[in-house]
Amino acid sequence: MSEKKLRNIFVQGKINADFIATAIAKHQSKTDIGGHSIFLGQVRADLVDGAPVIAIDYSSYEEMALKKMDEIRELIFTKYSLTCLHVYHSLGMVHTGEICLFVFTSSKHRKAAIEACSEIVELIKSQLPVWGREIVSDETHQWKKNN
Amino acid sequence: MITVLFFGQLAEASGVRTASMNGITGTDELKAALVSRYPGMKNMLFNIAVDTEIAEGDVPVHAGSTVALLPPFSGG
Repeated sequence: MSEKKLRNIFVQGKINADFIATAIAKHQSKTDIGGHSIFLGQVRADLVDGAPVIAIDYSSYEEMALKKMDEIRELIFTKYSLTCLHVYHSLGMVHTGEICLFVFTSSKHRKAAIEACSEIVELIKSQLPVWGREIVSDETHQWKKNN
Repeated sequence: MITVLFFGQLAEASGVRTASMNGITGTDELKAALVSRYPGMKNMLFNIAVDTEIAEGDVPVHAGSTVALLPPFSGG
């Protein structure tokens, strides 16, 4: 059995606005698409004991994350009538205000794209082996907790 | 021999990102051995993946396996 090459979702550092714009532009030729849904995760300046978070340092068990993302992709394509699905997640340092997660779904009719996008975000947050270490301005850090 | 991978706060608590261990045949046995070798890990919550598959309960571990210690995920 040949090894399936897993799609890479990881980007070193922040996800740039240009990258997002280019991704949107690339879909102009796909004229069966009627709607896109986009989720952008941004690093927020939470307060930790009064001091603001200045960045999140993301790490991952990459081999397992890519495998898990592939499973999520299969599940979503089976459940929703999508034309496309793209996911990008940052690794390494992402500063507050910068984008660390980009989920982009496209479909013929909007409902599938909107619902799929939402479900993908929840699955990523609960199932992908990715960790965020919050770097605080007072030079301490703590490990992010998802809810 | 198995390879153990430490992620997130577990790497901090143990002081290592990877370790080799011998004579481990199951995940429960592994957990006990880890806490013994790395006392900083005591009381830490984590899941275990054996060769990238999450282990439910006490799962056998074979020579050559890669076992990953996974704290609660916080991606996104």
